[in-house]
Amino acid sequence: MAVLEVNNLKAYFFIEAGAVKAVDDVTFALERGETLGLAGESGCGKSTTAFALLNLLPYPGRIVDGEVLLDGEDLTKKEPDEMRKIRWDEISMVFQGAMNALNPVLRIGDQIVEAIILHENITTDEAYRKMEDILEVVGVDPTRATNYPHEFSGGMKQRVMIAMALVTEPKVLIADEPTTALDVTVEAQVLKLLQSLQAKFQLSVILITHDLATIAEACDRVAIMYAGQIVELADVVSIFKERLHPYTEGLIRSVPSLLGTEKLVHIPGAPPGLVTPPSGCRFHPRCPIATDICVNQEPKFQEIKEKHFVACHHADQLWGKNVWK
Amino acid sequence: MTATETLIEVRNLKKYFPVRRGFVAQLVSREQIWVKAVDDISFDIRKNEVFVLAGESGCGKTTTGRVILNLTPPSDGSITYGGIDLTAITKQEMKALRPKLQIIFQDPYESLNPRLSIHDSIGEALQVNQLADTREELLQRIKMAMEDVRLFPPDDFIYRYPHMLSGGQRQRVVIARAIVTQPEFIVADEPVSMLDASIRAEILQLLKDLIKKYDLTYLYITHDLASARYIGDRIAIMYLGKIVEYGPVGRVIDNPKHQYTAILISAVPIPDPTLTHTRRAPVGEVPSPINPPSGCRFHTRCAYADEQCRLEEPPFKEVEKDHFAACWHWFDPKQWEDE
Repeated sequence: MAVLEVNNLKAYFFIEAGAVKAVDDVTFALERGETLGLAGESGCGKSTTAFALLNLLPYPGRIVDGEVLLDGEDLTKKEPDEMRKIRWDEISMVFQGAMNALNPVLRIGDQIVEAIILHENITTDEAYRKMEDILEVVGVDPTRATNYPHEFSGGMKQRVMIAMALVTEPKVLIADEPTTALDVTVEAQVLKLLQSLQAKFQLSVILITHDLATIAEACDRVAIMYAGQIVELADVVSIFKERLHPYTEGLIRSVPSLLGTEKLVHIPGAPPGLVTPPSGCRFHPRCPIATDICVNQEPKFQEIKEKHFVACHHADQLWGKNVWK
Repeated sequence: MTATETLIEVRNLKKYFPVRRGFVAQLVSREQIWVKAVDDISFDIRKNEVFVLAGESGCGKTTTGRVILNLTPPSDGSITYGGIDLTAITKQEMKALRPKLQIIFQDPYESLNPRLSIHDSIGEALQVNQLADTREELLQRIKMAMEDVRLFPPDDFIYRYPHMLSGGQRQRVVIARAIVTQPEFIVADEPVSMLDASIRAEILQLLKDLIKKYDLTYLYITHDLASARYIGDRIAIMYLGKIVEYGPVGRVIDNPKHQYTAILISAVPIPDPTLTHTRRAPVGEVPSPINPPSGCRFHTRCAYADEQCRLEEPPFKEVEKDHFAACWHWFDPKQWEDE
């Protein structure tokens, strides 16, 4: 059963030049207990999607259409007060560079306790006990609760942020580039921690990252975003082995692997501006197999194989082919 | 010119930074405290190769790159470039060598002056070094460099400012600025880590192509072993100011011998979900470079460390042709089998 359903979500930023269509008609569902990866180049709208899910879009951004159903309730219709309660209680987040999101002049224990007291009706003593428990769970020695953020390394701060996000036992965790600033060895530790916590708390995770290798390691399903839209959505093995969209193909073939020296491809050009995105398929100006129909008609995002969704006019011709030579 | 001619020789290089302390702390103890960012490393860079210096943040790889270019003087040791000891020459002599030794920085959003046009950014190096006699020659050489980094057509870009360019285009300008003086050696410090994956491959390929065209040699500094494998010929792995292992890239990555190298490689994510592979990480955190551990620096985090590792620094041994490692207990893939 899906815990979170996103239907035809549109989130635009209204600037002088017009509406920046950062998220334009995005539909996906997050199953209970799974990790869904959201991948794409910078500016493709993956972080905006996260902010929109939480109803936290910064000015001048706003949700213009669509629904975000958390257990059947539409979050886009919630009043700010109700939403404040749902955030953290039911749906939590770890942001990009989150380790710098800690308040530098508060002890980390006090910061976690503050979050607990705001969201749960328990005594201060109980909150402190709960804080120590959660630190233990994420692998931070509870005696360090009296330390300040600068006394922790980057990886440890990220653990504290994860502790804070999970202390209210939310159903959904949105992690936006949670490991991007960390060394690989620390990243491996943090992702391992996330996976073990996921089993423990029956947590559903949306993992947003531009790093496809991390996606391959950590996700069950993957959505590939391009220019504000999801162009392909499938389980992780299908995305890496039987991808159907030329953009996914190019993206995956552009990543060097530690194992091999396969020739890398690069996608020419740059992602388009989103005030007036290209007509038809938004990828057509960079696509090696684009035809007239791609210029004129927007491809439908449809289920081509079981649970494998793709938006491409030529998807059926792509099976097992490398269109990037 | 033989294939193995050495271009840069680094011997016993050390770079210590003094720790600034408060007034009271200085009264309590007179002893100067040092951060040992680079602590006694030696290696050769061969002509026309891509020599990779890899390691985690804080291991001293960037400091090494800067010291080699004499951007900051070493605390001890020598750097020889084509027979000249860079640590022993005067400022004037160094200035004359500058065009031959260049650097490409990590962040193209920060390394270009936003108030200089592309023409001025690239041309500055030529003007400072008086490498172009006339305005026409200057323009000619700027355009040539732009074509070589595939900023086509140069006339479209030459009078633009950095904010009008994408990240990939900016990094091309940074590369053009480095090659315009016809250098022999370039330190490339994480040149693609700030770029999107789809652009990275293109920039890596460009750096490779320039080797032949400009007769270049690179020191490629990175934390990303996958890109190191793609572009590198030989690699040195650094940990806490020391090189622990070095050799041909493929051999070091496929057959690591130092326990740290092995664990670092296992931690790298592989973009293939069908492969079962356990990402490992050393226990605990990197110790402070102010008081690095005795013996083997990795012993505090190594599962196989014993008394010898704590007391004696391991020497380099040639484990296979051209492949050296300094570890008392060679890594063997079997040690992870029964986990």
